[in-house]
Amino acid sequence: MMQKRWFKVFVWFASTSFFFLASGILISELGPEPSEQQTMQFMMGMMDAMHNSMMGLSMSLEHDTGLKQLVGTASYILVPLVILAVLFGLLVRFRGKRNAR
Amino acid sequence: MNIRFDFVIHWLWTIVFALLTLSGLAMVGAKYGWILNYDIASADYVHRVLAAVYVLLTFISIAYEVVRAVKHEEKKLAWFIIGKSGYQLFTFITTLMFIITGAIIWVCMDSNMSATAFALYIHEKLTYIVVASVIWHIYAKCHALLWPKKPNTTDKKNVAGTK
Amino acid sequence: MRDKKKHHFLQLAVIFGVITLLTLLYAWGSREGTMSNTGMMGASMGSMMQSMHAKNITISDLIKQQEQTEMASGGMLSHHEGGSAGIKLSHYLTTGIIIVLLPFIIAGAIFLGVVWWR
Ligand code: HEM
Ligand code: HEM
Repeated sequence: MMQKRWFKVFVWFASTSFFFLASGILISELGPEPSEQQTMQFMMGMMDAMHNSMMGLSMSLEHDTGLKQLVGTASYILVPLVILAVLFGLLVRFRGKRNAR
Repeated sequence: MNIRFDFVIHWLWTIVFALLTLSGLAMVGAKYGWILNYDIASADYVHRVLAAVYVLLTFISIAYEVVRAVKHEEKKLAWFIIGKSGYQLFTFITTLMFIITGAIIWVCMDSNMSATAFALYIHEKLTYIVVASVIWHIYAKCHALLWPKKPNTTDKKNVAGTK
Repeated sequence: MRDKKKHHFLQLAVIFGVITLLTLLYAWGSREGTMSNTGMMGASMGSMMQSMHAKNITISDLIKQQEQTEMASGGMLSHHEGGSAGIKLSHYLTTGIIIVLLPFIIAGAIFLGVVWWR
């Protein structure tokens, strides 16, 4: 697979995009402070996200009884699940040692 | 053609990771908005949908490793994203941090602002660290960038050029 | 470039290094005259929220304020949880996936931690 030509192109594309991301971070961090106009654009974008994307929806999570209940259930099963995981993990380890002998 | 599971996960992961970072960075602040032309709404949408995909991939990977652990399979998967040592352990831990802080941001945005702010802070700084680590990872594994050997002239040109 | 193995990495690194430098130079250069003190706006969302919290103003406060102004200007239309049915659906789907899988991921990670320790 790694020797396929189209796959090499993909690997190169992926690598290049990570370099782009790193450059983007450097440029943004080391560049000048944003101008007034850029700041406005950013704030407009944020407002847009609250109105037309999921950010706004999750900001009203408190009013959503269904999802709130789900959060409650998830945290409720977390503790027993963790205890189970520890016990089960110890069991698997112990059994592993005995089998190795 | 025999494509291995860990191989598929590695490259799916790479795609999702790159897009999550791209959309996340655009939201960091006014300094970063240019990355996606200040279209925060799209960045938010993409980030949230892909976060779910990322969580799903992580869940599948962990389930796979749990099954392997129960069967006492010790063989290291060369391409797997999570594991018990080295870079695999690093991605495992950072992934958990991304998911946990991300979920805190997601769920607490409406109710607990200080938790959200703290989680955002970790989430953001972690992004810088992990992007740097991926660049290092590409450096360490950059044989992946070599073109397959073929009897053509480009290879010879390269050799001639380095002399 | 002696090291043939790392050659391609160096290629990428050098190209992007140059691009980064040129962009930075351009950004600083073209900024002259537009000196504006935007203060905290240069900060990231995380740091911004933190400083806001320190002053006891939260984004929700801002949103509520904004809602009130919207109400005042006659708009019941856009409650901030607006958005089309498609967005609502993806919100439920993604939030559901994340919330349901999170306990299992944590438990699985702890299990692996126990098994893998040392
Ligand atoms: C374009 C980007 C990438 C390239 C070229 C790349 C390439 C590779 C290669 C060649 C391997 C080794 C497979 C082997 O040894 O047979 C590998 C393993 C691995 N990759 Fe990537 N990868 C990339 C992105 C990523 C990303 C984004 C992550 C996660 C954040 C990641 C995590 C890993 C891990 C954890 C391993 C196992 C490493 C080890 O066991 O030492 N990779 N990758
Ligand atoms: C590869 C993994 C990820 C990267 C690199 C990443 C990166 C980022 C960045 C840079 C930000 C902006 C932070 C700031 O403004 O200070 C952000 C925001 C956010 N991230 Fe992530 N993230 C990742 C995974 C996740 C996951 C798995 C989740 C959810 C479980 C998540 C949920 C969020 C949320 C809710 C926000 C707030 C912005 C919004 O409302 O959309 N992220 N992310």
